[in-house]
Amino acid sequence: MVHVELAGLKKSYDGKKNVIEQVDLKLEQGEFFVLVGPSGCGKSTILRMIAGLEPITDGSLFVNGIRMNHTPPNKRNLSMVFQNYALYPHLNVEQNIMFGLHTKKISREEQQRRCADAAEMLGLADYLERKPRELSGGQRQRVALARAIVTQSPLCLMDEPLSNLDAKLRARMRSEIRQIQRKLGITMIYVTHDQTEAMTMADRMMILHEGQAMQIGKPLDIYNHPANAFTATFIGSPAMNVMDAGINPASIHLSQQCALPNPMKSSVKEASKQVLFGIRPEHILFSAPEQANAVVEVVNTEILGTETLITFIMNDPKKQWIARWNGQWQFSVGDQIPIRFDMDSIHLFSKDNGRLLWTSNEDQSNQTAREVLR
Amino acid sequence: MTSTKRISLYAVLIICTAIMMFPIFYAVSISFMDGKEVLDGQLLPSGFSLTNYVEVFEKVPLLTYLINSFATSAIVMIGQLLVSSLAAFAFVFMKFKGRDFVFFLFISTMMIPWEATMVPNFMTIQSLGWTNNYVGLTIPFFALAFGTFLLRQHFKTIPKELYEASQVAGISRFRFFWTVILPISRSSLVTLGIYSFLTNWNMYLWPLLVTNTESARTVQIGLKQLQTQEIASDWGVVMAGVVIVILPTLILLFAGQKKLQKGLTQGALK
Amino acid sequence: MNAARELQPVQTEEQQPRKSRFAFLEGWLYLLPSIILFSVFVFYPMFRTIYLSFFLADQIGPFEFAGLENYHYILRSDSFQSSIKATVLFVLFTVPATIILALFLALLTSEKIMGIGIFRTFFSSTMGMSVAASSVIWMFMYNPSIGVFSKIAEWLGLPVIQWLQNPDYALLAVSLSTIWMSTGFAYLILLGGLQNIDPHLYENARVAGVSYFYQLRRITLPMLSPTLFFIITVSFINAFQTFGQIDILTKGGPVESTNVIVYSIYKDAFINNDVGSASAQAVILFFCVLVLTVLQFKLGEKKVHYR
Ligand SMILES: Nc1ncnc2c1ncn2[C@@H]1O[C@H](COP(=O)(O)OP(=O)(O)OP(=O)(O)O)[C@@H](O)[C@H]1O
Ligand SMILES: [Mg+2]
Repeated sequence: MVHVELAGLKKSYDGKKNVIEQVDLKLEQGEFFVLVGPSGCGKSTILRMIAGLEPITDGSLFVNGIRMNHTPPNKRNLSMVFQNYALYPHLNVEQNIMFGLHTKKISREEQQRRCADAAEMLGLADYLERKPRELSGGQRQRVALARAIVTQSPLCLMDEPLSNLDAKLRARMRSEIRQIQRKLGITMIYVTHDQTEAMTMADRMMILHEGQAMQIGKPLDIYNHPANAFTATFIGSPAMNVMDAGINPASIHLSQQCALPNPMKSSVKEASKQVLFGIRPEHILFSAPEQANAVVEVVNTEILGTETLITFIMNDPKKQWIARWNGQWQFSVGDQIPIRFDMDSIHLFSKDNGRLLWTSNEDQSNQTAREVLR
Repeated sequence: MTSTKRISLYAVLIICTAIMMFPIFYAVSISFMDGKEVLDGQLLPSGFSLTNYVEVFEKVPLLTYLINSFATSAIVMIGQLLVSSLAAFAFVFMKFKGRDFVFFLFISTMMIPWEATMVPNFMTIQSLGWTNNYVGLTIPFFALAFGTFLLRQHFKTIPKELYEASQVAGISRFRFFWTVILPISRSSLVTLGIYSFLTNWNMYLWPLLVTNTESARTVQIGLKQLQTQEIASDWGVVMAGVVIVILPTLILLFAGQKKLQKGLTQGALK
Repeated sequence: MNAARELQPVQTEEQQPRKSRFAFLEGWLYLLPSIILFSVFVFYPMFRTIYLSFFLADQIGPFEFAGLENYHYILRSDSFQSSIKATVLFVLFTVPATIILALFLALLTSEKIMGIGIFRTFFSSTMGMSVAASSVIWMFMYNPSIGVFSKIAEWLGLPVIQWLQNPDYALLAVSLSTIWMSTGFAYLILLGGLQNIDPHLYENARVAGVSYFYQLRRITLPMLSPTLFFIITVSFINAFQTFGQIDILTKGGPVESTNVIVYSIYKDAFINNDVGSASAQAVILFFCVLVLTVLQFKLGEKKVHYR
């Protein structure tokens, strides 16, 4: 069942420039949806329009099929968690959690019960009397979460709720939030600029760039089949390696020495056209010298334990690529190593608009199976 | 916000403005009226004649007063900025024996009402022969605890690393103060500067005590003189004087209102 | 090598005290201007005032030790009692009204809407008005024959009141003008306090759907309490020290109904040339302000929420 729908949503703060251009989106009931994109791309703006904190310039917002453009925030039946948590410093944890519950016309006992349940669920039971300033960052985060939970709203909005926490705590809270969301069956719209968070948490996600939706889909689909160069480089860490390449019906030229067979012979008309060539670090393979596509110079290696990241110079010294290989590889700086590209996993993007021109037609199941095997 | 709410908010705002601004508006209006219009109790002048403005400069040496007020306010402003910033710098960037005690002394000066000490102060100034000149009007106000706290608040936000880096580089403390701290704190200094100029321009009791010659008087005393001389006879001239006296501070306030509000709130709290 | 290594600690030991002694001196050097000025113009005159309050004295200096005579005298005098009464009434008339008016205006203008800047400037404008200028304007407004108040009274068919000449109304009239004069400053401070409150707190309240007055009571006022507390303290102290508007509007009269304490000190010292009595009153003023400040801080600590 569709829960939230954005139809042609637009936003302009100054009446001239659109900060959000035409966003269309349908969210299923109980879905964990992530809005991800670089800073300033308009994620918060979309979220605040859904919440009713910011007027919608154009387009429609439907919740359960009802147009909600002009409904005040409290009538939209949603809860919200802010980046800085927006806890009331002069109220204790319990008062913070129950803030505003009286407007929902529920009895005092019910309020207390919900608060106790939420506190129990989030391990806050011992801190109910404390003021926010007497809590750690993670605990404050949980209070904000608890405040969203007690409203029992079917829709929850979160704006970068984990960005003020350290890396370890962030990883833990990621899974905690996900579990709570599943348990309560609420629909979640979650904003982040961190692609790892998006990849690990989302059922589906939308990648936003300068107010435009670049791609909407399941995390793995987007990872494997980026619709454009922006998505390809934004999702994945280390990022996909991309460079300009010349193309003609027969081959792709990455450099004078390095030419690859052109997989999309038929579709290229003009000779020597320019494209963007992209390949993920894990698809660059160590090769026997005779099969190598190129021999490259190592400039750095990072051994992470189970895998190694090798930074090497591709073509001109300013163009550094990264390969990711399983196991521990020890190279010295300056070593010349032969590499090979997995031709089933290369991406070609248009140089003009960044759109995907070609990728291997391997179907989904095959791809997933390979992921599992690797 | 719904549009009915918005309209009613504007309505309330306009009513409040009308009430709050009425005395100022009234003064400006009267300053353009001739004697008969004033006596008729009109609200608006029939024309914008500048006669009253010309006359007020003839009736009292207003120009001298203006110069005196301007000079003393500027001197006090500079003095306060210097003395306060030096003290604030010491409180924030130096650790030495007795610092906390001195800080307590500074706080305690805020609890001593200036009016409670005016009699001996007057005697001091008199015995030093500083009456009727700028020295007596300015020096007693150079040290200002409030100003020191306001600047201290701002200095505390300057990263300690900046100071440490300058020490590593071997720059003397005073140089660091003069070339790094003061320029960084420009906005606080401007806030304090506006505040001190306003307060000193508007000072009343002290100039009343230590000046009694026309050459030394400030505008505020000039206003009193004008009002006592002119009582009931020519209010238009008096109001012209009032308008001239409030104009500089109102302009200063309009220009610096945002800064002042930010700075004063910061200094007031924390 | 060895020798050098042994030398080092000796060297630093030698340098340490000299360095810290220099730092000590340097620190005091920066504070010196303030300390000298405070000593000469705040601490010395304060002690001198206390000292003089035990003497019969004129503007030249003390001439006869009088013990507590000055205090006895003023505490028994009707004049001082009426001065205390006028001061207390004046404070009660002006401070709460100023704060409430300023808070009301600040709340009105805290919303970011078009043209709000101009209203903010208007409401803070009385901060730029000197006491003398304001008093002259109000004096005219109170003028029984041509002032605006009389005109309004006439128009409404009410009796014309001699605002400044009638002992029943003079203090009220002075208070009204003072409220107007002090609103600008209080407004500016309170507006700044309001703008320091994290807007997300209000957004959360909007999502929760609480009413405006609930917001005001549960978020705005508690979050504003440090600022409110500050401005209340400052307003109290300022009200105790009122002088200019009294000097221009009423000169302490009629029949001493507006003879607030600072005006009374001024009159005794500079007009009646009774410095001893003026000093005794100044000491009382000092203690009033002191007690008030301490009391407010004690209360404030309990009631005020600090971040
Ligand atoms: N109140 C506002 N008035 C005018 N422009 C605004 C306003 N709020 C945001 N913007 C602009 O809209 C664009 C999108 O802002 P938004 O806050 O949605 O970004 P974001 O994706 O949430 O970024 P971040 O990750 O940094 O939070 C930005 O260019 C920003 O400058
Ligand atoms: Mg944001």
